[in-house]
Amino acid sequence: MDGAVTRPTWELGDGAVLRPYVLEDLDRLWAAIEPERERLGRWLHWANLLGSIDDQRVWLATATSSDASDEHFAIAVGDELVGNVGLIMNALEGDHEIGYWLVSAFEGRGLMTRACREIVSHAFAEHDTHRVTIAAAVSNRRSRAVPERLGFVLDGTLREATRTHEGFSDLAVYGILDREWRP
Amino acid sequence: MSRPFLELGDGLEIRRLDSSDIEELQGVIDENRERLRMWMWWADGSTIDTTRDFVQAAIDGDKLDPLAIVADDALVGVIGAEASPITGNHEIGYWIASSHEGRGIVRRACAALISHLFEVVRCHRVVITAGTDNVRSRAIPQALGFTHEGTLREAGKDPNGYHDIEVYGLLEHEWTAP
Repeated sequence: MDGAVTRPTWELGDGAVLRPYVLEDLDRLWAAIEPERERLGRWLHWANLLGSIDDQRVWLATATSSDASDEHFAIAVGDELVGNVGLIMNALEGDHEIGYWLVSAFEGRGLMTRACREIVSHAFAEHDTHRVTIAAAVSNRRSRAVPERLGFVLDGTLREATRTHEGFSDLAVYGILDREWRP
Repeated sequence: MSRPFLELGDGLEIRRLDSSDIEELQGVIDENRERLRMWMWWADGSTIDTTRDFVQAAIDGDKLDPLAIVADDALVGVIGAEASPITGNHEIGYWIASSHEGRGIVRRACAALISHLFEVVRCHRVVITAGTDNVRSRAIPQALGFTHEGTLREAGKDPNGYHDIEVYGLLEHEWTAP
């Protein structure tokens, strides 16, 4: 990360907040992911590789590290953790990619779209990035709806470029440039 | 110089880099710096020290990225294939000295590496990306039967700003070695 980027907390409405992780989130994080591993793993291969809370502990140590170039934010409702948004830096090209997941009980409310809107603004304002990318399997309609609602442009469809429960799946790649962004 | 990794015939080979290549590689980079810097992020800042680190990382990593392109015992370019840890897909990158452009060397080197990736490494998909205005580089995937899958707008950074990146993909069942 370029010096001390502030990691703020955003109100997402309906009692939900988007905030930085703390190490004390471990049990909340595992409580959110553990029952959803199979569902998340349909699209996100890493979820299939999570064996125990210890795997999550390693991830959380990275996510809370102050010198990490990538940033991760938790979506929390009260004391419950219900989703995640990650902002991954591509140091060579000066662009960023966003990835996310949400537990099924909180789907369908526009929560992830609101969270990603804040993170895209954060990427352009705090990281001086030129472009933000979001990629999702073509058949993962809920995930694709997020960049589409936020005005991203579909830049291409990479054939059989990702591994999902379907086998190899086509990957839709969406991009938005700093001058195009209208939060 | 190391043993050939892939022999392409007519004095053309792909070899693993070793420490005896450092000075020769830097000489080729210095001669070609002005052309390379538009498309290769590392070219502007390349010195004998960065090249030594680059070659040492290649030796330590024992991967398919980077490899030397050798014509008649002279190092004339670099090619490499980098794997995605999740999917096992590979992306190929390359550059060639201007003295050896236009002879089909990169196309032959790519073809040999692609056959290796599909037949030995057993990967499913190979990607090549190139700047929209880098016509010579784009000609390689076009000649080898890749499909153009998209244009990542302003996803490439260069000394003058940003440029569009063309993405080409090839699947294992689509490949017939030329």
